[in-house]
Amino acid sequence: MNTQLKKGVLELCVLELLRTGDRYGYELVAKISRSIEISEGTIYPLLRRLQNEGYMSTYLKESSEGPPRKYYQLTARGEEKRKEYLKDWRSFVSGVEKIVGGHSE
Amino acid sequence: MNKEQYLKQLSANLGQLKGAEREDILGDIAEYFDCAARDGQSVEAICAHLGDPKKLAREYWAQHCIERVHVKASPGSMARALASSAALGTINFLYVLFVVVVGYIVIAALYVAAVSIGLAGIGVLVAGIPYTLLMGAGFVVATTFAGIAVICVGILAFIGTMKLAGLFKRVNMAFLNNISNRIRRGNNEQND
Repeated sequence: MNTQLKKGVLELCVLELLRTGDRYGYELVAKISRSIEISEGTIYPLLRRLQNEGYMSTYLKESSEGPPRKYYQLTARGEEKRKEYLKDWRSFVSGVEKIVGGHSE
Repeated sequence: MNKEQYLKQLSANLGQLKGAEREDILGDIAEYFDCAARDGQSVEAICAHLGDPKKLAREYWAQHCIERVHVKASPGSMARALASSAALGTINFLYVLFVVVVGYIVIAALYVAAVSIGLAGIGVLVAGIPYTLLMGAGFVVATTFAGIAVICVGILAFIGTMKLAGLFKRVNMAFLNNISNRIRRGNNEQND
């Protein structure tokens, strides 16, 4: 898959993963890189940007194994953005499907 | 490369990123190392997943520079944002060199020209005075008017240059918004 396209949908993936609950950095990165072939190094600056733009907030939480971890939480603004991205993504996919769908290879 | 070496290289390439922000970034990546190691990944695998620390640092730095422009749009902050984006390969370095550098040189030259015209006007004004006795009052009146006229031209040129600089700034801002979107979309294939 084309890198540019992949990076474009990463924001949606991060916000979507946070919809069901707060997660720490490694969890987010590991979950995404398991499904999408992308360098982990690409996701970290993106987490920072989403945070700086107010779509997520962070807090530290003690962990049973080792030092406290930084958790990411979806903000109200982030939730709005998530819906917006999801709508964009759905319409994009259905548009592409209309063109490529219906034939194999 | 081990965790310490990776973080050291990352830190060395974070440019002028200071204080809390730098600590935060290094903390995030250190946490990633710890979590991934606990997850059973080898240090080599972790480093490979994160990619070249220099590239990661460049990405953080470019992002920071673009955020700065949105906080305070000055020639300095814009030049840094453009240069850092160019280093990422997101934009063409020639654009930065040509449009920004040449653009600011032209604007600086116009300011110098405007000030020079103004000073020349003052020169005409002052130079006319010693000739009063020699040439009579009429000559002084003429040089005074000429001097004031030249000063006015200088002031107009100065105002014009200011307007031009403002326009140049707006064009650069629009361009930066465009490239920040492109960075967001990850248009840096060259480095991948």
